[in-house]
Amino acid sequence: MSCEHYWREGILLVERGEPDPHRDTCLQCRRAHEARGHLVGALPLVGGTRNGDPSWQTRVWGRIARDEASRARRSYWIAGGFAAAAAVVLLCVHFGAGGADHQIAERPRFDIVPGPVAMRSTSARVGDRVRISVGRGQEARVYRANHLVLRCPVGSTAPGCTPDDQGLVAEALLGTAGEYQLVMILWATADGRRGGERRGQEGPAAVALAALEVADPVGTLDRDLAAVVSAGGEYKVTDLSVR
Amino acid sequence: MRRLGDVGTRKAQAAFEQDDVDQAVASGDRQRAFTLLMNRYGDQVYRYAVAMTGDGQLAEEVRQQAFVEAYRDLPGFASRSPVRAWLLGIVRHRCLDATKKARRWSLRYKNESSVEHEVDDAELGDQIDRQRMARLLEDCLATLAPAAREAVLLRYHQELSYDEIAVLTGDLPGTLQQRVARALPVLRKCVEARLRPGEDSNEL
Repeated sequence: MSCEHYWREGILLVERGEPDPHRDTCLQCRRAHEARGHLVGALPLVGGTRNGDPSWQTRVWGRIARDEASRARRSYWIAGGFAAAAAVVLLCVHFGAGGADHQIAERPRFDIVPGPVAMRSTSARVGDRVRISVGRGQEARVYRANHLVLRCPVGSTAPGCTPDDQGLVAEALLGTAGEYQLVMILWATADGRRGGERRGQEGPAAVALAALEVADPVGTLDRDLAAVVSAGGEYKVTDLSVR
Repeated sequence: MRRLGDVGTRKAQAAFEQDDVDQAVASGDRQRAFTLLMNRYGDQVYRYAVAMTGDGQLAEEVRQQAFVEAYRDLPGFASRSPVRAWLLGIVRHRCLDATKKARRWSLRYKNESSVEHEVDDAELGDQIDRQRMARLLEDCLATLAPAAREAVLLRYHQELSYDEIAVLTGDLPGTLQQRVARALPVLRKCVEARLRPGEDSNEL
């Protein structure tokens, strides 16, 4: 005849951390307690032989980059709406007050330069050029279908990249129809400020150093943006449809 | 099995890990804090998710989703609770969601229960290797009610105290103790039945 006291009552006493006087006098209950010990001791083994996806951390960074990109895009448009409204107000004030004769060059900025056959349209057409103007310490990239086609790091004079007194201008021909992604990257300086922020004595060199710490882009948008985030940079992505 | 002598060491280690992550969060270094979390708890979270869902792919999805959420919520974490318990709280919710979704999908399209791993070896007792035992337990855990499975795993897989589990689940510690006390004999019977098909045994 077996004693069921342990599995009915004794086990609850164990979970509560209370003594079980019956167990001291019952061999079967002591054995049952040992069996429970083996069972509980084996539970940490569950899942222990599996490791999952070895590149899971990269995938997490990729998802974070995508989430932040979509959030940035949303806030970019919201901020753009406010900026446009503010610009209208400023223009009214400007012309109402007699006007100054200088133009404010906002950066970063994306312009579509019409090709030989210019057509009025809200999206770009094959043959147009895209011009990305970024500030000091900022990097511009152009991706087509999430693959890198042009990269202009800080101070670059590579073909398509032209440094100027405000930063640099990247220009690329939109030679193929499809979806383009225009990316502007702000690199953090050694003191944690972003390249676009106002700084004192330090020049773009400090920013360029920070940018150098990240590996060269591999050419795939998600992975490159993940690398930017890992290296402490921030970015803005603008989608552009070319027909 | 956790030994009594380990408790102090574990607490000290947990406190050190907490300080480390807290410092990184306090200094605004969210990426460092997050990298520490992933390196430290990534495998643990995956194993817990495997045990909860019984599905490696689902567990991987849970792990990645949970860490994305942890990254988002990290600035607001502010050390209100131990970092591991906070992370497990996120994982727990994602596990429950994933299990519900999988169950709905299974009912609608597959109309079959989870795959059972046959015990194809007659070796018993001490000769059972750890991997096989883990597989058996994984299958048997799947037969428990979700709340019981969760309580057993948080207590003996993640080694949280009943008070910590109570904070995570919103149940009373006494309720959790009863839930575990009822679940363990069921688990034991299930394991025995799979180890010795056709026999009725009293020992694991």
